[in-house]
Amino acid sequence: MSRMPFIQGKDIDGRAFPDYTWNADLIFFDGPFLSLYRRDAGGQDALFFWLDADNKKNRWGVVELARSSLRDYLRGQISLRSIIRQADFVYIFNVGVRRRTSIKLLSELPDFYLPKADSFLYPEISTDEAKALIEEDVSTYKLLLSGDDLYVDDLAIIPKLYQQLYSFHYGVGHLDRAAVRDRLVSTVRDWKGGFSSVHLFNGMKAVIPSIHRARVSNLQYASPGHIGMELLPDMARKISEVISSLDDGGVDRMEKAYSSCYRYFRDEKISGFEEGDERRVDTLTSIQIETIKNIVNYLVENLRMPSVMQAFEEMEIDVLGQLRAILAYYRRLRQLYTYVQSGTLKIPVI
Amino acid sequence: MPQPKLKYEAEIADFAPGCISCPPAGALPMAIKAFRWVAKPMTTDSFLPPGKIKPARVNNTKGAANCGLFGVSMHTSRERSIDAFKKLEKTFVYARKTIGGFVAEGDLTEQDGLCTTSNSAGHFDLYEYEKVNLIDSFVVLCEIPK
Repeated sequence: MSRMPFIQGKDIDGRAFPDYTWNADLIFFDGPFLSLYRRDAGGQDALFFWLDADNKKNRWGVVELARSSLRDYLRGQISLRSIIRQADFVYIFNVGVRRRTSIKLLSELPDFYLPKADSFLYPEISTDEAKALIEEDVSTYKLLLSGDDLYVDDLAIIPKLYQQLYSFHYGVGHLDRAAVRDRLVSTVRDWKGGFSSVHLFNGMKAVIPSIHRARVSNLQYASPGHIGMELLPDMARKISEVISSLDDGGVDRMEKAYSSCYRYFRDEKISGFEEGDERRVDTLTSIQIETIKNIVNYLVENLRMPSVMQAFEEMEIDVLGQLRAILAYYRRLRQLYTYVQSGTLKIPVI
Repeated sequence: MPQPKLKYEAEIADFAPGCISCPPAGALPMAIKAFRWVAKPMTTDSFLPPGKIKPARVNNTKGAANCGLFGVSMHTSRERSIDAFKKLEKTFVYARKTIGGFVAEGDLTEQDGLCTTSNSAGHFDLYEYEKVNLIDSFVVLCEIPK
């Protein structure tokens, strides 16, 4: 294989190269050619595209792109060439044995590496996952606000809690996406160093590409006001259904179950397991496992989330992992629901 | 009759926990004519799955689990194979350096391995059984026009 050409550009230390999380392979033949990533800090989408190879390494380019460009590219409406040419910067790096080397920052990609003018994401070369990403589309949705007792921190907390619930439902509903499945497995089942509910929700968020993310499109607070969002309507519907499950005494049932659940853990001397604890299911007795199984079933049933139970089973998540995830979810739901109870927030049914 | 062992069973078991089906659900032994992109002359390397090719064309240095790294890419017809390559080359102008620029044809048998269901573009992956040597079943048909 012939040598790769020398590239002029600013050398970047490996530690200065941003952290990106893999989201999906968009073109894959005998390995990836084009992959969608998301930058950990800031959340920008990025495309990693193969450029060249020699006998020892492969060369890749990285370009960040706007949500609209990603959508248009996935729809076959714009070319990769135009995305690269519009980008403010391009990274190039080589990969030898699983290690990035020779990272360079360029203002533009050299002409000899530029894709052709008709470098579209043709259905004949795109992965099934690339096709699936564009099948779901966002629509507008409003969280309704009212009352005089709304503070700046409430306006920060409400979207954050909503986004965490959204990420959870996205994860459960997109197990066919490898990045989502891998992330769920690592945060709920194969976690190391203790379970962290923050990792669970942030982990899910990291594998949602911008075109599927809940994005605030406008904010109006004039009592009544609203938080306008673009999001996947199916996720919004699931959240509104779970919120509805807390109406008509549902929240009291859940609170009672939540308290008795923790009382049980204290009595059995297994409390403290839900955050940072490394307890494994094989340290529990069969009676404890059966009791926890019943608790999880009760919680999931009351929250009307049968799809969550199916996801747990599909992922082979043990009862302790199931319980950790469902309690972490409920704590956020309960916090959001206090705004609903006070009349500050209304989450319309879709 | 027990299913024969896959050639890369150990590697697949390494990254694929029980809940991840690899080869993908629906992959079956098939007697089918298959078309693969190769370099000329073909060598045994022409039929290595991406997880075994050195240097590996991977961009995820954390080594994400990917079942596709142990499947060998194929098309169901010569026309579809050439069409896909031409479209690929519009974006990756040096594609021939990594996957060759020729199409080879071969007759897969049910003893060769498990084939995934072909997609709308006629593409599928073959997960080879142990001791299968695909180079014996394939011949180079033509160079893919530039």
